[in-house]
Formats: sequence, C-alpha cells, structure tokens
Amino acid sequence: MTTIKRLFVLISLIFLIGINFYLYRNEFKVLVDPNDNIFQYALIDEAKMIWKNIFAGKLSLFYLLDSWNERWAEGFALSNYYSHLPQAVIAFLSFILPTSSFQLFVVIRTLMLILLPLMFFWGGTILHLPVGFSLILAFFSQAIFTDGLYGIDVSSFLWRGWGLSAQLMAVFFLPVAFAYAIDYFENKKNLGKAIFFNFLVASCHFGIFSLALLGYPLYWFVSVIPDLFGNLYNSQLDSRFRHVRRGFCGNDVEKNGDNKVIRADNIVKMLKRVQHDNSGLIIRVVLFISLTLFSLSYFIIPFFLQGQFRNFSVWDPIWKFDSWGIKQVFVWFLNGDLFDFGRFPFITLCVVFGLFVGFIVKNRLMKFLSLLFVFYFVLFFGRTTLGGLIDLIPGFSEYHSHRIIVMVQFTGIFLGAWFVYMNLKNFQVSILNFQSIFSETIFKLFKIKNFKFNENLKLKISNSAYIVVGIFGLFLVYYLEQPLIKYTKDNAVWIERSNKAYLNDLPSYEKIRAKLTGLPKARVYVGRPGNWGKQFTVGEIPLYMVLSQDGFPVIGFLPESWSPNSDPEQFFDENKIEFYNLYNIGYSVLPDNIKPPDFTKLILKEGKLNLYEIKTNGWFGFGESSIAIKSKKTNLLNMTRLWFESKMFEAGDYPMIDLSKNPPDGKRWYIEMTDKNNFINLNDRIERNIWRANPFETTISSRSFQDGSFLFKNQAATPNGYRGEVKVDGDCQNCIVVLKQSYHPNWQVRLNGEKVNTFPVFPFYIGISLEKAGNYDVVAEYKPAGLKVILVWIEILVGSYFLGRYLISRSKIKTI
Amino acid sequence: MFYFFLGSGLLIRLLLIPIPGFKADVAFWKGWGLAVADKGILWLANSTNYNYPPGFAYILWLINKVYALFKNPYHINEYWADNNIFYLFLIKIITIAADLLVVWLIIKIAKKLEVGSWKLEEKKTSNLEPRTSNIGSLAKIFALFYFLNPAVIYDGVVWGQVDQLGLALFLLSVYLLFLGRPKLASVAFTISWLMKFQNIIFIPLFYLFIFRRFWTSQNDLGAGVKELSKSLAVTFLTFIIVILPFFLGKQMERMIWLLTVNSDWFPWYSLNAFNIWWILSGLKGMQLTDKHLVFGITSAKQFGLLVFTFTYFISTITILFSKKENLFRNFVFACTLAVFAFFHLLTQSHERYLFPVMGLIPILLISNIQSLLQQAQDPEQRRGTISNNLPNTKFQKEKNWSLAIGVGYWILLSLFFFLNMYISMGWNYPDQVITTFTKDQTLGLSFWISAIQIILFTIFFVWYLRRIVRKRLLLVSLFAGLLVSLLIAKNTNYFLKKSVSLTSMKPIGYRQDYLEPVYNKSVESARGVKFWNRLSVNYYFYDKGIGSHADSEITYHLAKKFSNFSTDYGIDTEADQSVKVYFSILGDGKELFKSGVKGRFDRPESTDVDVKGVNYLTLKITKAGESNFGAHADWLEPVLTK
Repeated sequence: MTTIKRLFVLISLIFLIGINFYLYRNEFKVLVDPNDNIFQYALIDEAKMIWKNIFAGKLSLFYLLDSWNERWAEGFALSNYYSHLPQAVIAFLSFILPTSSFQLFVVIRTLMLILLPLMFFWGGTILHLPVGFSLILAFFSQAIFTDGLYGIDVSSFLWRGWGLSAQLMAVFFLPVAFAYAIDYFENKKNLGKAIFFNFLVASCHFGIFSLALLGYPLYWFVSVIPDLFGNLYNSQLDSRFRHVRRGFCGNDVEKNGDNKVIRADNIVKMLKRVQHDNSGLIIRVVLFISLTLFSLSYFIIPFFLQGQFRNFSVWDPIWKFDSWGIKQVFVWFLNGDLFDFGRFPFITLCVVFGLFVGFIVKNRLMKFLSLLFVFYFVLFFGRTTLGGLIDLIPGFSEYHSHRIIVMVQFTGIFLGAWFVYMNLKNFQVSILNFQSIFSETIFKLFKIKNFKFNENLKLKISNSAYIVVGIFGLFLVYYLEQPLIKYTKDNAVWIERSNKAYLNDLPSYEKIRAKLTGLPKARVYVGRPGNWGKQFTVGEIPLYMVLSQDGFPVIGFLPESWSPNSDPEQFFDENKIEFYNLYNIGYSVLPDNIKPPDFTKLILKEGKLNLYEIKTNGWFGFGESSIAIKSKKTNLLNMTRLWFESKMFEAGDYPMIDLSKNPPDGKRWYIEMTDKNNFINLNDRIERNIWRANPFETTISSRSFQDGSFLFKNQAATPNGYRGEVKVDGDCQNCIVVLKQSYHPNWQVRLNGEKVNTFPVFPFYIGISLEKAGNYDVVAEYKPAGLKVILVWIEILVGSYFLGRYLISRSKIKTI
Repeated sequence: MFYFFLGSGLLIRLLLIPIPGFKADVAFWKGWGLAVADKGILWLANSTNYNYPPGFAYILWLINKVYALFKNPYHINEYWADNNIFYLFLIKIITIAADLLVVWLIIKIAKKLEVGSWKLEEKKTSNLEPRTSNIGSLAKIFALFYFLNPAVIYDGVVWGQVDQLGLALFLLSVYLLFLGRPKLASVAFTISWLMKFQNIIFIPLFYLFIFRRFWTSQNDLGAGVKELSKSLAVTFLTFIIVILPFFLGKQMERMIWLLTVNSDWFPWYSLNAFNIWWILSGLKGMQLTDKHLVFGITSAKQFGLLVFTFTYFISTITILFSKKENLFRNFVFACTLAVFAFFHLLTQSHERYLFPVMGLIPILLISNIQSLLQQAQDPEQRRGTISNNLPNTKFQKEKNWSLAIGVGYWILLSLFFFLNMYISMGWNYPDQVITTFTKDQTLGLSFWISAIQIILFTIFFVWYLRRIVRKRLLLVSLFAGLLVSLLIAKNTNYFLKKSVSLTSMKPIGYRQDYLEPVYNKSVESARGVKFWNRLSVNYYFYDKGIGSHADSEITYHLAKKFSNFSTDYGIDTEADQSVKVYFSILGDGKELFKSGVKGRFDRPESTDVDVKGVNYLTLKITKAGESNFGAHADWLEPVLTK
C-alpha cells in the first residue's frame, strides 16, 4: 500500500470514528439506564459482589462462572445460562480503575459502539479484502439503521434504544472472529485466534455465536457443491450415453440395470472425489468448530442439560421466539427497513445486488457470504413460517429468533460493500470508456477532425470525475447519516432530561436505599410493569429497575426473565399477606396514591417514596405436598395461577412439580398435564379439563400449617445461600420445608449436616422432604455445578498443554 | 395466403370489438382505470378493490389517459355504458396487438427451431440426405391456427380479458431465451407476471430453464449459477422499476398483498372451470367453498394443492434432467403441463385459465417435429430407432402421425375450451351469447365438457409421463411418496380416532364484526406483527384456539365425520373491560350449546357437544350487552373426536 493510500485509509477511519464520537458523545453522560442495560449493569454489580466474596475467601472463583442471582424473580442461576465473563472482567477492572463500575460500564459500551467500524475494518483486513472494500464495510456497519429491530444498528444499543450491551460486545468481536475462522478454513492460519475471538463472541452473547456457528459449515458446502453437481452431471451424462433408446416404451430393462450400476459407481466416485478435494477443508471446519465448542463446553453442556429449569415466558412477545414470518421480513426488507429505515434504501439495494453478484463471481468468500445471507434470511422467517423445522436445530426451540436479524445484517453489509466496491473499481474503466465515447460522439457531431486527447487532458478529466464522485460520495455519506443524526439528537435531549429528573429524585431515593441496606434482607415490592409500578419512578426510571440495579431483591420486574418464577409472580396480589409470605416480601415502597394494606407498617417517608415493613415468615416455609404435577415446564403457568386461587395455597400445600419422565413416587396423587389446561389423572388415566375438574379443589389438605406445629428461627442469608433452624413438633407424611428460591439442581441442602434431596414445588421453589419430628439445622447453598467445575479444569489443562507447546515451538523458532 | 387469413382474423376481431363481453371485468377496468389515472397507482392499490398485479395498472392508466384525450371519462352515462365502443376499442386493441405478437412469436420461434435443426444436420456426419424442412410454413399455419382459433378470439376480443397480454409477454421471454438473451428474457418475463398474475406458475420453470441451459458440463455449474444469478438480478431490478411507486413510498406490504391476495379471493371449487373439481362439486363449483373436506380432514383446496405440487414437480424434473438438445422442447412441455395442472388440479380455477395452452401447443408441436427431425439426423439415435435400410419413411410417417394427432388434439382442446368459456359467459350474461340459455339447460353439458377436458388432460399427462419422465420414475415415485406421507401425517389423528384440533382445519366461511378470526393468537393480531398477542382469558393462557370478535359466526364442514366437539371459551384478556358476550355452538343450524353471559374477568369455561351426524358446525359469539366494542372473544383448544 502506498503512503498516500495509507494516509487516505487512516483519515477515512478517523473520519468515521469521529462521526461516531460526535453522534454518541452524550452516551458518556448517562447516569441511569431505562432499558436492558439496567439488567446488564446489575450483572456487573453482581459479579463485583462475587469478587468481593472471593477476595474475602468466602467464595471460589467458580462462582464467577456459575452463581445464583437473587435480584429478580425469586433468584435464579443466571450465570449458568447467560453471559458472565465480560461482566466479571468489567467488575474486576472497576476495582483497579479510579471510576465507579457504572461509569466504567458506560464508557466501555459507548467506546465499543464508537469503535465498531474499526472491528469491521480489521475483519476485512484479516480476510485480505481490498482496503476500499473494508472501508466501505466499516462505513456500512455504522450507517445501517432500523426502527429498533434488535439488529446491529444503533437502535439496539443507545440509551433510547434497547440497551443490548451484551449483543454489542458480541457484535464488536464478531467481524474479527468471523474473519479469523474463514482465514483458517482458507489459509490454514490463525486457528488459535479464530477460536479465541469466537470464544469472546460466545462469552458476550451465546445466541449470536450460535448463529455464526451454524453458518461456518456452509463454507465447506460452498466449496463442495460445484464438485457435487459436476459429478452428478457426469453421472447423468454417462447414463445418457450408455442408454440406448428403444422407442417410446422400449424394452430396456437390462440397460436400466446397467445404468443403476453406472450410477452407483459414479456416486462412489463422486463421493471419493469430493472427499479427496475437500477433506482438508472439512477437517479444518470440523476441527475449528470442535475446538471452539470444547472451549465453551463448561457453559454449553450444563446449559443444555439443565434447560428445563429455565423459563419460557408467555409474557414475551410472540415474535421474540417465533420471529416475524416470511411476509413481514420481506416487507421490511423491500421497504428498506432492515438496513435503511427512514431514508432511500440505498444499502438495501446494494445488499440485493451484492447478493446476486456474490453468486456470479468466482470468489469463494463472496459466494459463501451470499449463501450465508440467504441462509440467515430464511432462518429469520422463524417459527412463524418454518414451523417445527426450526426446532430441529439444537437449542432453537427456545431461541429468540428475532435476533437472527443480526446475522442478516452482518452478512448483508459485506455483500453491499462488495457491490459498491466493485462498481467503484469499475469506475476507472468506465471513465476511460466514457472518454472515448465522448470524444467520438461529440467531436464527430461537431465535425472536429484530428483532435486527440493527450494524456494530460485524460488525466484531468479522470481526476475531475473522481472529484465529482468524491463529492457525490460525501453527499451520500451525509444523506445516509441523516436518520442517525436525527435519532441521536433526540437521544441526547432525552438523556439530559432523564439525568436531570434522576438527580432531582436521587436524594430521597438514596435515603430509602440507605434505610433498606441497614434492614434484614428480604424482598421488596415496589409495583410491577403491569400496574402502577411503571409510573412509580426515580427520575424517569421505574423504581423496581433502579432497586434491582442496586442489588435489592425485587419482585415483578423482568417478567420475561429466565427464572421459572418470573411468570407466576406477575399474579402477586399486593393486598394479601399470603403472597407477601410466599415471596418473603419484607418491604414495600409505595407512592402516596396507593393505599398500603393493613398488615404493613410505615418506617420511612422520603419525598414521594413511602417505605413499609411487612412481617413475613422468612426465607423458609413449611407445608405439605400432597399432589404432584407431572408436566413440561411450559404447561405449568395456568396451574400455578389456579393454585394461587385455591384453598391449598392458603393451607400451605405446595404441589410437587415433576419434570422428569420417572413413574409416580406412590406417595402423592399424581396428575400429568397434557397441555396448559388439560390433565390426565394417573390413577384412572382419564383426561380432564381443569375448568371442569379443578384438581386443586378436590384435594384440600386437612392439615393447617399456620398453627405453630413447626417453628423456624435464626433465618439468615449467607454469601451463597440461606440457613435457619426448624423445630417440627410431630411426624407428618408429605411434609416439606420450602426454600423460597427458584428451584435449580445446583442448590444443595443439608439437614443437620446431611445432604438431602430437593425437588421443585409450586410456584417453582425448592422443596425438601421433612416428615419426622425434631429440631433441624437447615443449610441451603448454591454450588457451581460439579460437571461445570470438571469441564473447566479439563479446559484449563488442555489449554495449558497447547499453550505450552505453542510457546515452546515459538521460542525454538526464535532460537533458530 | 398467410396475410389473407391474418387479415381475416384481424377483421373478425375488429368487428367483434363492440361486444360488451364479460361486463363485470370491463367495468372493473373502467373503475380502476379512472382511479389510477386520477390518483395514481398507490391510491388505486390502497383505496379500491384492485386485486390485479401492479403492472396491469399501467395499462389501465394508459387507456384512461388516451381515452381522456378524445372523450370525457367523467361523462358518466357514456363512460360507464356497456357499449362504450371507444373504451372497448382501447382495451381490446391491446389483446388484438398481443394476439398479433403471439402470431409473430410462434413464427419466429419456429424459425429458430428450424435453424437449430439445420445447424445440427450440418454438424453431423450423416449418410442421410439432408431433408427439406417445412417447419417455416408449418409455423405459419399454426400461427394462423392460433389467430383464427375461436377460443382465442372469444377469450380476448369478445370476453374483454387480457390473457393474451400475459401469453404474448411470456412467449416473448421464451423467444428471447431462445435467442440466448436470458437477461432480456427475464425483463419480459417479469413484466409478464406483473401484468398477468397467472404467469407466476412459470417462474420456477423459467429460471430452472436458464440454469439448466447454461449448466452444460461438469465445470459449468458455475456458469449455470452465474446466469441464473444474473437473470434473477435483472428480474429484481425490473420488478423494482415496475413497482417503483410502492418501493419509493415504502408500501411493499400493499405490494405483497396485491401479489398474494388472489390465492383465496374466490374460495370456490371451481369458477366455471369445467374440470375435475367442477364435477366433484356436483356441478356447483361456484356454490361450494373449497374448504370442504374431501379426504379425512383434508380440504379440497389442500388436496388440489398436493396433486398440483406433484404434477409441478414432474414439470421441473423434465427440465432439470433434460438433454441439452431437447431442453427447449421439454421446457415448453413442462410449461404446458403446468398450465394444464393449474386449470385442472387446483381449486379456484377460472374458466379462462387454460388459455396459455393455446399459445404453447403450436410451439410444442413444432418443437416436437423438430425433435423428430433431429433424431433422424442423429446417427446415435437412429441406430436405436430406425433401421439404416429405412432412411426416411418411418420418420416421415411418425412425423405425420405426430402432427395429425397433435393438431387433432389441439382442435379438440380449443373446441371444448371455447365451449367452457361460452357457457360460462351465457350463465353470467345471457345477452352476450347467441341463443340464450339458462344454467339448468346447460348444466348437463358442463359435465360432458368437463369430462372431455379431463380426458384430454389425462391423455396429455399419460403421454407426458411415458414420453418425458419414464426414466425418472423412481424420483417421481419418491416425491409422490413424500406427498402421500404428508397427507397421511395430516390425517393420522383422524384415522386413529384421536382428537383433532379444529385449528388444523379451515372454516368454509365466517362473518365477524371486526377483523377476521385468527388461529392461535388473539383477534387483534390480525392487525399485524406488532399486535400479536397470545390467546388468554383473564391471563389464563392457551396455545391453540381461535381469536375472534363478537358478533361472529365461523362455520366448518365436518362432513358428518365426527361424534364429539369440545372447547374452552372466554373473553380474551385484551378485550374491553365492560364487554359481555355469550357463546353458542350450532350443528347444521340447530343450537347445540349456549353459554351464560361471559365477562372480561371471568375464568375460561369448557363444554363439549355431541356432533354425530353434523355436516356443518358453526361457532357463534354474540354480544350480550348493547355494544360489542372490544368484544375480543376466543374459542380455546377446540377439539373434534371421530
């Protein structure tokens, strides 16, 4: 590359980053988030607390990989299923750097957004794409825009957008990860880097990684398909030439027999040839995928093995899981709304024509990208169009299919950039052609003879044309940036307004927060999105969001969370003490216009915030479990709600949840849900409807657990769980201790030091059988999964071995 | 002589222009033409009942603009008069021009075929004497045959339809393909289906042909893909240019609506298309919806689609596995089969849908003869088919037979197609036919016309299978097996006497005061993706059911196949808080169940009713108060048992 070219590239990139910095500068000023970032920051805060416990020697490092998060929906083993390493790193950095962890989070995510085009440029460089191509790619990565369709455009990341910082981090590393993977497939280089960057993508957002992973084998497919078709064609030709025509219904049984042999031979030959030609490539693809998956096995294997303890929420919009369907995707695409919302669909058209060009040119990478675009585009139709077919892809039955847009946009901008680059490249030729046509027509027209362009004049015309195109290009950039400028302008205004309102409410909130911090730990109720809670704000942010960000366990927020308790807790009745007991809600903060229930006691009033205390029976409960519900996890919600409304709930009878395929235990009445509203009584095998035969109305317990036949005392929270002492006066069959935490097999419970079995009970709590009278010391601890710990150690050992070998070989090379 | 007959055909057409023809069609042209000329294409698409593809709107725009140059379209009495000759002239002159274009194209394509065969002859080292080809003159005769064909004349200049336009543009694209200009062909073809939507049946075949034509050898897959991609790119560009107002106005949703709305616009067994569905409907094709069950819980429409898919698959493999020298002939064969299948196998077929066959058959006959000639020159082929001692006679004989049978077939087909249209016209507009007749008088005739048309299709299909696809029987059988498996899978529960969800069936009809019934989502979901909601009653959720709105009646055809119907029901969570409705279930009009009054905060309820012997099941929701505002009500987990 010449110096001028380098300078041009540098200036272009600085220009691009400069635009981003200018557009997103107000993001640095954010004091509080209104979107998913509040959840993302809470994860960092949670990681920070774990670090503190690690430093204090109370927890092991494994808790950074697998811990339980109490903030939402009765606690959940969130890091077992969700991004955790970037949060751990940011939390750790916040100990070192002289800034608050929130500010650090804001700076990191904003810088990532600003520098995103650089990563695309870097990706292009790794792929050995021409510099001009990479520059256009970088620009397109910055310029695409949607009306908040959860893609890689800014509406997914900015303050006024969705705040998908985990996705932003994944997308930040994706171009490089993708490029190194392809570089390895093609050039047998950079396997380590390919794995490392793909690991980073997966660590930031496993969903984005899994989409990329699905696409990689297509690279092999693109390489194989010409051979495959070619050989099929040969096979066909052979059969044709050997086939002797014997009239319209000729007697050619023998010949047909021959043909079969010939075809079989050809297929074997074809497969051999394909194998021979592409064995290297397929080995590389398989090796890369296997090693990357191995590096992530500590996460992936438990993720899939423990999938039934993760929620599939009915509060989520349908399109979140099912995506939008072929019609809507096409409408958006053709309207330009997948790349060019609010402007002429320039990038969209480039993508479309780039797609066709990709199939026309011989370049394998472009063919691959074209195929990949089609693949993701079809996948983006989701279950709405593809139905159950999409569930055949491992992990996709509960995948948020609307996010497939990320890969549609990712591959699309490569194709669009390619198309623009090709046209610019051809521009020079076109100019020269134009010159000759121009000279021929104009001079012939005016009968000017013996006039010839000299080289100087040609150069001048060329330069002028480039200048014109340059000006046009700048105008195009300006035009394409318009929707972003408008969007970020409003964003800045709204950030400022929110900050001002937040600072105004902050003093009152800080006093409430300080008071709550000093009180014994219990859950807090401050309304929920479905009632007055949404308008009960600190600044402009609902209080339940702000409190959860600050580490207080709230209920009601994040109805779409991963905890199986998050769906039923939306039926919390704020006027019934039974619900406060069920959820151990020791405090509520209410606005002035909400009448507190009689059983609450005002302990602090600050501005519009009224803090109340409620006496509950603590983190543990005691009851009976006389009925078991065998069910898929998705069929439990109506039953749980029905239970809330039943006498069983009041009497403390917690139905056992059986998610297994095991036969009934013989101790309880078993029913099996066939769908959300029908069940089979396993005694008589007859199917019934819950609205005609409510199973909770027929099995009301005769016992009462409110009469003091048991007593819990000294309940306390520990860094990784809860403990307490329980005294049971008499033996009782099917009696249980209930820990008011979302059930997960990683919870270990000891009664008097002895490990006991746990099982899920309604609403989705941890049940422990306790049928004998006596005094018990109950200790419940969340422990990182044993399998996960083993896998991490294996990964460390194998990784160290290869790292060692690499370092040794490198030192040898240096010595030589 | 050629020009004499051509002139005669033209004269006949000009003389027939004043016939008002199918008045409803022409009235629609007039109304839409006014709208598009005054307010533009977007207004036409959004504010009228326009259900044709966008390209045709430009034709209507042009006609109205020309009309306005000479006459005042706001002179209501004159403009809307059935015998507005000037308007009829403007609309019918297009079909006449299209017919002339078809004539020209038949001749040109035939010439290209002829040149192709001579070129082949020159290349081969053959001991046969080069025979003089009479394809050129044959083509002229066939072209005249087309031009003077009563079915062709009737469909265009009498009826007032524009099927000719679609055919002419399609044949133009075929001709351009033959010239080796796939990109130009793609332009013409795209315009053709944007003018006349029935041409979409050719889309897969057209592009498969391009792909196959350029994929000629082992290393040429890239060439096939390349040419296909180029053609698709040109298609997309043409599409965007034609629909530019929609593209620039970001109204692609309406655009897609225009392109898909006709899939269920007339949900009948047959729209006077005398085919198998006409007979199966008991000669009441336009009174019986195609949602009636014909096999288990498979409706007529679904069954027709399956059979059509099978036939279409055969068309595609005809092209995919074609020898290069037969590729064009097989392409025309495949297109003809597709048109036949479209007319005969699908429900909702119109009487005119057979029209493209009128233009394809002459090309088919010519290419078949050319193919025979080609075989005669091919020593490889000749060894297998004719003895070297019998140089010409057998081939000549075969050619003559082939020609005679083909022409005879064409005549028969044209005759019965003409009769089909004529009777349909007479039923709709008795004043537009000579010797007025009633439907009752000719219903029996319609049966015989159907039967003969089916026989003609069957002959073609059997011949096609024997001639074209007999070498691919295994593949065809596999595909048939796949379709049968799909059919069985759909009906498994029914045949095993397990419960069958009503949502796996389509209603034969519905009436609803707001939006339309929605399966497995609330009724508001019909407004678009951003309004999608799960079915729930006071937050009790359901996976399956029908989101509806009072007052509504949704009717299903049970064909007396079931004994029990059970369902939950309730007001949807998204409903207005004050709404009150009651639910009832009717079997053949008789009330089988009626609920109490249900409100927004009630739990779901459940019922089951005996439906033994019930032919039609109606689910009815009726407002119980004064208003049905926000009365979103659901039938939940509705299930039938055999």
